Amino acid sequence: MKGSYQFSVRSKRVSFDFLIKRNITIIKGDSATGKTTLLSILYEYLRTGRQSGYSVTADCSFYVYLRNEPGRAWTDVLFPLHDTVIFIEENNPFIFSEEFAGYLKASGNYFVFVTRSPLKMLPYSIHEIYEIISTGKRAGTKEVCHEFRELYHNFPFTENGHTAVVVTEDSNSGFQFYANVLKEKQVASASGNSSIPQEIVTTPHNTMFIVDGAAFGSLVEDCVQAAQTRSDIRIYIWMPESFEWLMLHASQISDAKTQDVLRHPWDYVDSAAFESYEQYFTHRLTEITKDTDHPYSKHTLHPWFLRTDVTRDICGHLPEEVRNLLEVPK
Amino acid sequence: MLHIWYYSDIDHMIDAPAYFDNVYEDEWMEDPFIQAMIRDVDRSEVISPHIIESPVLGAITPRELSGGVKVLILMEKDDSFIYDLSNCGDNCARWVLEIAKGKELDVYLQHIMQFEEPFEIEIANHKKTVCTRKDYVQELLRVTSEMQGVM
Repeated sequence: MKGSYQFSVRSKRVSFDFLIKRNITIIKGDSATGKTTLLSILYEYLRTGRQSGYSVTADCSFYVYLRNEPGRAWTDVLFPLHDTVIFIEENNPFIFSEEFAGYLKASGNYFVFVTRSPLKMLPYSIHEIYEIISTGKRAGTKEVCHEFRELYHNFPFTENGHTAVVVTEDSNSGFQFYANVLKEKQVASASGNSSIPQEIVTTPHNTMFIVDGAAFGSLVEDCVQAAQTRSDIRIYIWMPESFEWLMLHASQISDAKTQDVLRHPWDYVDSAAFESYEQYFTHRLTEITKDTDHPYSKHTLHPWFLRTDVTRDICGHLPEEVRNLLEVPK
Repeated sequence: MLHIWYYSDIDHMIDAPAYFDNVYEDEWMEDPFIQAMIRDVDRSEVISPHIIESPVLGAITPRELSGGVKVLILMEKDDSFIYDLSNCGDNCARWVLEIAKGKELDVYLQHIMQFEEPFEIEIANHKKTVCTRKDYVQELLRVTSEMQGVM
């Protein structure tokens, strides 16, 4: 399944308008914002259509899993579904299981979870974690309008300043690149993303963490919370989609199709083939460089990528805030 | 005092909102403390034990209260189970602390809920009491690290 899907969900009193555009979307936030109401309306509409008294328009099939039914395991219910946006209510513990993670990655469906608990088995994006907000009443009606608001952004901490230490999630190509570009800095690898919250707690220096936002969703809250406890130093967290996503922006690497991919990746990333954008961007970078004299490998960066003109090209696509913090030459 | 079991194997209630629908009692809705929680979290007013006025949904019954406030009410009124605090948003946190002032309240948690100081919370996994946000967050992260074998 690929693409983006607009939902418009209405009762006489509430409406929800939102776009689903990746294989995993999370809805969390305060109590009483409308999460359960949204899923109840979708469920009732699924059950009886217009006779529910609700209106749902969506340019895709959808399904709502509220809770298990006697004699029917979640596997019986979900396995037959294909090319479907599946909404799953909280209090369904199977979503934390390895079996479910394996099913999700292979199923090709899109999933929308209502849960505050991080799904540690699944690679989901920091950009697809939302809260529901009310935008007020529609003029002349009793209908209170709601939409999704992204909870996490790339720069939780935007104070001016510099950082002497950079920690990358990546221990291979990404680390090699940043270590080469940031020779004046102390660049270290966290050797994976799960140790980063603890690294934030223990680092003694002003530090910037560079992580792959496309698969960092289950850790972002822990990191933000950890950073907020460090009033003694400055912590910055930069969460680009992935290292390969950054590389694909460089004019010496990119082609016309890649530029189009970067503008609307949801139209290219098939969720049955790629469990996250991170995987897709790695695939794309590998594909477009495989017949060149500088094939990309995630494990060892080809020296071509470290040439001054290439690194300057790539760094030209760093956000200005990151360039300033890292003191990268323009 | 509040005792948090963070990602522990402790037996806890899986679907408290559904449990609430089956066990709530009319008298609970007449308790001024319960009414204050409903007013604050759900922005709704208890008119009578059977009718609650919601600014969005209109007249509702206790069954249509938010999942978060249902869990708060159960924590206050029904000690039969350990409840999952991850059913509650951060706008429930102050009420959890209020409830825990009057009793030993054990809860299960799977995310870092934002409590505002002052508080005294025991992270029951380590039997460690924390009184600051910094200690609270770092202790929860320590539990996570131990689970992952990072430390």
